[in-house]
Amino acid sequence: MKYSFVYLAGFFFCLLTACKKDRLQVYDDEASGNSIYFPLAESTNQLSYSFGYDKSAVTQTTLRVVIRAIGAPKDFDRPYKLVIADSSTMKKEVDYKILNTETSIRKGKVADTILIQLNRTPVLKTAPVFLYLQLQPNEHFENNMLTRTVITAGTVTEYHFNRLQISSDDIAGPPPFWMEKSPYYSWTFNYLGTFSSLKFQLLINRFNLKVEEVVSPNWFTTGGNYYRLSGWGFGMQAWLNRMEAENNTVYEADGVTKMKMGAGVQ
Amino acid sequence: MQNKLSGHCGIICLLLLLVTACSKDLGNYDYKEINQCTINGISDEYTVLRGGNLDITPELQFSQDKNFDRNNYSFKWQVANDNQLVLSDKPELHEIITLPSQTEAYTVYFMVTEKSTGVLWRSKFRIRVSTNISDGWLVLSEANSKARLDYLNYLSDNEPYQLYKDIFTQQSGPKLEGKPLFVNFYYRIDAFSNVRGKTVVVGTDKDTYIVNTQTNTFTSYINLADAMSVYYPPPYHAESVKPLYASRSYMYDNLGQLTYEYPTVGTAYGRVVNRTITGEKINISPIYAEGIQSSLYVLMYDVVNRRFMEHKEGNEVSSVPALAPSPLPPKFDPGNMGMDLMYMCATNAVTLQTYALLKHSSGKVYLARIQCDGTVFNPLAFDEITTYAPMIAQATQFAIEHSQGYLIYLVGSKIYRYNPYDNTNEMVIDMGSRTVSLIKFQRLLYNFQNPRYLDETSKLVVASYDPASPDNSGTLDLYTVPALNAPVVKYRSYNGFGKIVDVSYREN
Repeated sequence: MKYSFVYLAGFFFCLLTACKKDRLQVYDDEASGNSIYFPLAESTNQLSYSFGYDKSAVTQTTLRVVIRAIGAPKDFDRPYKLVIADSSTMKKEVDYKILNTETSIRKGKVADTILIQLNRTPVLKTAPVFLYLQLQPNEHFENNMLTRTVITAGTVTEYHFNRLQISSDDIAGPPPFWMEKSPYYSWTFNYLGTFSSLKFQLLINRFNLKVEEVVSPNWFTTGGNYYRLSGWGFGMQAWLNRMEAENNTVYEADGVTKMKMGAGVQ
Repeated sequence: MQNKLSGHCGIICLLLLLVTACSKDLGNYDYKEINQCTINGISDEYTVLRGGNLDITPELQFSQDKNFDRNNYSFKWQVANDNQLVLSDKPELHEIITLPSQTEAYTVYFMVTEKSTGVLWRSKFRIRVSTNISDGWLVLSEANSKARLDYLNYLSDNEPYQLYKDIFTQQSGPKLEGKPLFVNFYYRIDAFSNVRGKTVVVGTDKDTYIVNTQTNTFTSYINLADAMSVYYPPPYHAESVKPLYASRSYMYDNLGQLTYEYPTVGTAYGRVVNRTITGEKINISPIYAEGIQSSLYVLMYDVVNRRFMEHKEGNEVSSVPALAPSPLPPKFDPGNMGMDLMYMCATNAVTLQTYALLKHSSGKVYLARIQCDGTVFNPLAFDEITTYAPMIAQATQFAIEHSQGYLIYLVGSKIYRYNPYDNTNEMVIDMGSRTVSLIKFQRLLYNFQNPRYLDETSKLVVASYDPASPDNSGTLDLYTVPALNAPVVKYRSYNGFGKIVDVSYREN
């Protein structure tokens, strides 16, 4: 009987204290700090742009790079420190220009976007140029979330969340099926001949093709696309012949070599 | 004792359950009715002419806003296409629709957003935009020494077709130079760009234009040279383009070459098929019979050696048709006909036969009926028909009726019907003083199961003009040609043309 009373008291005590409203666990700014990083770097540290496939009228492009801070928004603007590494080969105000007037995460926000204008300068025709961006700590932000580790076939690589490589060139490289190492190269070469950026550009423009589709990795083997190469070869050669007959002979970039499609269409 | 212990255990378990029973629950169970909107008065689909007005007045009912203050809401009429075009931001739609016309209807959302809560209601419907350009007759004529394309546009079952005179000038199409030769229609795929389209091809003795009318406009066109895989210096043009089903077609050029387009394997016009395996050019008649089926097949006539030649899909050259072995002697030897070709055409009639009319040096005319395609060449009949149809030797134009297989032919301004299955021959239309410039049966390529199309194209087309005023007296008459040799009856008549050279039917 005595025990019953104790149990009953315990029971009621439990009833009274059992339900307690719990606060939602939120990120602790104080303890964990506000790290700043490039969200893109969660998958890749490289962002590249090629003017190679653009029409000649295109002289610049603007890339948008998002910067994000961990933690809660604040009720004041928080400038962050964006550093351009000295190893960058892009020249400021020549090859690129950062369009933002200030680099700051606005009050009430947790992200900012940097607009980087890339200019189509002549130097891009020879080789790509690079811009290395790094987000460094300052009074508002830390670099606590710094790296991620990726193990590929036993090789351990560390990727920085606060670093980003931007590259730019004006080289229209061959699409995968026109690369010499491609298993389809001999097929392609037979119809289209030797690759040149100018030839590829003319082909794209003349037949109004979507370059992003043609250069995509599996284009050649998709939906019988490889059949189209013979059409392009013949069609381009017919056009080159027409241009020549009309005294508008089309030459390769050197201005001397007559443009010519593959042996299979001659 | 045992009982007491188990009793204690029970109570302890109960307590444990009580302690853990309530875990964190962040849900909000403080329910509150929100405003609800019912959108009525919007049909599922609207059809509008491009450039025409569309008026929709939806009825909106709000559960908590009986008096409907429109300032409390924002509205949006948005098209679900690539650029998410907003037609209007008003509660009612009264707009001119400038969306390009296309076969598929546009999906449009009418959205109502309550400004205070952001709650959104929407209603979905479709807008079908047409240019009014539908299926209809393409009419190529010569007027004032110029080529002109007119278009007879289908409107509805009970109305006559609407005439668009000089549609290329009217709708910024190509400018036709030279004398008109032919017009044709097909669902073309460009061998280079893979662009598909309902295509009108128009030829003159100077130019050939390939016009993509997919969006029911005539502004998108290319010159034949841009569709070629070989360059031929000018003057170069097509004498005829004959489409087959499934985007393949043959093109006969002014150099006497027959070439084909087979876009799905990347082959553009330019591969000459009237060659022998040793590469010699075969001089063929400009009259050739393209196959009925989808694969490439054409029956040609070698005018030098006076023999049939055929080209089949997969071959780059042509050859004399080979006869299947048979115990009976063949009706004729395709490799040695010894006559001149007058006319040849493949027809849907009577088990897909190809008719060929040949004239012997004696003046007698023979009708060869052949079953031929990519797999077989079977001479079914070879009959001297001058006995029944004595005037046929003087005929200048021919047409084969699709269902009964009548051979219709023109002598002067009189039109005759010869029935090869009972040898009856009869003059069916006398155009009197008018000059007949064309007789034709249109062959449908795609919509051959659509009764309306079938009915329209079952008619005999007779184009004529008054020789005293050839530039504006052109008439297009359609005649019903019934079965069982019943009398021919005029169905419809259209005028306002020049001297009609060719017609075709644009299938939509």
